[in-house]
Parts: sequence; structure tokens; C-alpha cells
Amino acid sequence: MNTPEPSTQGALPRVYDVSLLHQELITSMAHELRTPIAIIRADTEVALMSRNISDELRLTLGRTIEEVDRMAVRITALVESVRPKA
Amino acid sequence: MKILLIEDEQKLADALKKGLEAESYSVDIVTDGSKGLTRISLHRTDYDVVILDLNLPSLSGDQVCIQMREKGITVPVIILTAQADVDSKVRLLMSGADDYLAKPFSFAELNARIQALLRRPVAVLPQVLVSGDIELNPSTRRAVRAGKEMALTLKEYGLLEYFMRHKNQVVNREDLLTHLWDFNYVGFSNIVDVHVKNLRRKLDGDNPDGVLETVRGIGYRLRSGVVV
Repeated sequence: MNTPEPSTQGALPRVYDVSLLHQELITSMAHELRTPIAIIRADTEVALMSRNISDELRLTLGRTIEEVDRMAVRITALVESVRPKA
Repeated sequence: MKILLIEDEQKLADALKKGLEAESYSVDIVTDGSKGLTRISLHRTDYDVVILDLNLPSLSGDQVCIQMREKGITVPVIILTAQADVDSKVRLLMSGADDYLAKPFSFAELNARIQALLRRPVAVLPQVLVSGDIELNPSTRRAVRAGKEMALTLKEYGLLEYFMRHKNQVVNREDLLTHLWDFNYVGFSNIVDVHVKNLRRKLDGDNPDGVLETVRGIGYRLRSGVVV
């Protein structure tokens, strides 16, 4: 029976460890990003509630919210991409 | 309507307060889990809704929620979470939260969820069901009598939970069939009697005067005053 070369022994567990670390890092970063994004969105919405802003600023704030929502969707997709498949 | 906001991110708390006040809510901010729990414990009748962050200093949001429910505080709780996966959501709801919102969220959705909670009746069922010396925890699916855990089958557990949610009421066999067997179940109604008999044996052994009383011709009644 062939035994694996010494250099490849234990390689699979190492690959598994790195993969797990990668997954944890991505998940943790995604969670860390959600709060600042929530702050930007909430602040922008509060600014939009004001009646005393120009149409131009209103448009800019609206676009900020759209982009923040796009970021949130990307973050969710990123977390899903590293989640172990059942 | 008054809201207790327990959130340690001051910038988010300030933005939420401004936005909610613009929707005519009154908002108090606490930035620490333990202090938030103390505030709601001492002023439980002052608040209509609690908005709770998960990652809080000194006591996490889910622990605040669990301890609130253990103290019998029934104020509706919405949890703000950065964890949007299914397992986290399930854990939050099972800890006693009424709703959750994944960050980032819109004020429109937060407001809609607050309004939905305010439409509910005030009283909620406790997290752990208690009848005499029997305790049943639906979140852990454990049933304990006089401090001793009972090994119940799924059906026996379902029967006990139903009885405990209707303690001291007469529950007929058709109710049990409707609530515990699926719509397509075709069988004899004495299947209920068989499972009740097994449950009764686990609850009371051979004691004929046990906690689960047969109401002849109708069904059963769980008597809350009977202890081992």
C-alpha cells in the first residue's frame, strides 16, 4: 500500500484550518461593517426627514441610501459565499 | 409611545432617537446591557417597546432579553442584529424577543415593526410553562417534574405542551387530534388515548389520582394543583 509523501501528510487538515479561518474572518468583518453602515443609513434618513434641504441634497442623500443598501446586499452575499454548504 | 433603546453605539443611538422622535415616539437611550436591564426592571410600565442591540457592554442583548422574560417583563422587544443568518434569528426569537431587524435597516421598516408589536395584546405567555411541579421549556424542549427530567417522545411532549397551555381546562380528543396530528392523519381517535396513557404513566407512574384527569366522555384535564 502506498503511503503519502511526507510533504503532503497533514496537508488536508491545514487546508481545512485555513478555509475555516477565512470563513471566520469574512463573517466577522461583515458583522463589523453592518453597524457603521447602519449608522450611515440612519443618519442619512434623519437628514432626509428635514424639510429645509435643497432638492439637490435630497437627491444625493437618496443616492447614498441606495448605495448603502447595495453594500448591505453585497455583504450578505459575501457571508453566504463562505458559509459551509449543508 | 415610549421606547427604551439599549444601544452602545452612540452615533447609531442618536440617529435612531432623532428618527423615532420624528415619528412622534419618545425615546430613552441606555448604552449598557446591565443598566438597560435595571432600567426596564424598575420602570417596566413606563415603556411600550424595547429596542435592543445584541453586542452590549456588561451584558449581551440576548441575555438582557432572557433575563427580562425570567423577571416576567412582557414589554415587546425588537432586537437589532448584525447577524442575519437563520440560526441567529431563531436563537433570538427563542430567547424571548418578539422581532428582530438586521442592520442596516430603514426607519420605515422599524416603525412598521414597532406598530405591529403595539397592535398585539399586552400579555404574553411566559417562556417556561409551569403547572404545579411540572416545568416545560419550549425553547429547549425539556420537560421536568419535581426537578427530574422526563424522557418524552415527540408526541408525548406535544401533548404535555398542549395540556400545559390549557391547564385546568377540559381538552377533548378532537382538539388534540386537530392540533397535534397533521391534517392528513387518517386513523382511529383512540390513538390519542394511547399516547395520553403513555404520557400519564411517565407523569404519575401507577398513581390513579395523578395530574392528568380523564373527563369521562369528553377528554382530559391537566390539574395544576397536583404535585408528586
